[in-house]
Amino acid sequence: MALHRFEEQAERKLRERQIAPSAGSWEKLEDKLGKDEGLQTINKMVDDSIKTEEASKLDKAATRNLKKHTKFKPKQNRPSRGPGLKS
Amino acid sequence: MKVIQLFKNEKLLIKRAANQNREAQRQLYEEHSGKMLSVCRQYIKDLQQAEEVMLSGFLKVFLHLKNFKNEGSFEGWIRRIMVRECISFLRSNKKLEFLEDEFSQPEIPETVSSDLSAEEIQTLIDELPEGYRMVFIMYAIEGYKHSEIAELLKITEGTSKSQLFKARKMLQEKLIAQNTAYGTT
Repeated sequence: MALHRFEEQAERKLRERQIAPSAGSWEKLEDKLGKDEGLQTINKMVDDSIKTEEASKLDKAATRNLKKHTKFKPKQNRPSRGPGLKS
Repeated sequence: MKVIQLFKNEKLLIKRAANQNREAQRQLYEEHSGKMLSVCRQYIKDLQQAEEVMLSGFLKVFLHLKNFKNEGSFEGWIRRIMVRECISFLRSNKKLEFLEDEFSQPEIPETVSSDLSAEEIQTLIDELPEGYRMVFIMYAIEGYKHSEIAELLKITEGTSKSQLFKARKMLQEKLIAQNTAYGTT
């Protein structure tokens, strides 16, 4: 057979060919998909939790920074003068 | 009209499957698994292993379905994922090696023969050494260019060309032997 004819046949016939997967192959894939989605959900939860933790750290740092650079001192930090000194 | 309907249905099915709709995923699997198992079987001789590779290929298909832009054919997109999966499987099992020896281009004699069935063609291709097989299938059947084959298999374009030439030479010898055996030369 001419090689080019063989290649033409190979291309046409192998590209058109279908082989039926074994019984239960979809269920197998479904199982893998379920595990994978579960893993993705866990990864997302971990990511979200890391993000929340980082955001909280940033928030605390920003508050510390703000306190350091502001002249205003919160009232509760001042010592009380006591009621007798009012008048 | 039917083709347009089918195309619209597939687009919708892909969209649903990308959103992890199991029924849509199952429909896509049932529509394409026969052809994709055939693709994997071209590269992997053992049918069971080929099916395992096809399943992990489909896992990637559904995982990355949101990246499919509906620009080319969906079947072509899945095929490329399957080919990559087969290469990765063969590489991890150390089955991929490229026999290198002198590369010359003598004339390949041609003979005449009747049609071969897909299974007969597959048997002839199965008899090629792994590297020859890979390059032959990718070039002659899947339509990859030498530059693409070189990139995917991590070889040079020269190696891809020489592997193809040797595959063709070996196939021609097998075809001649087969024709002689059947008395059709």
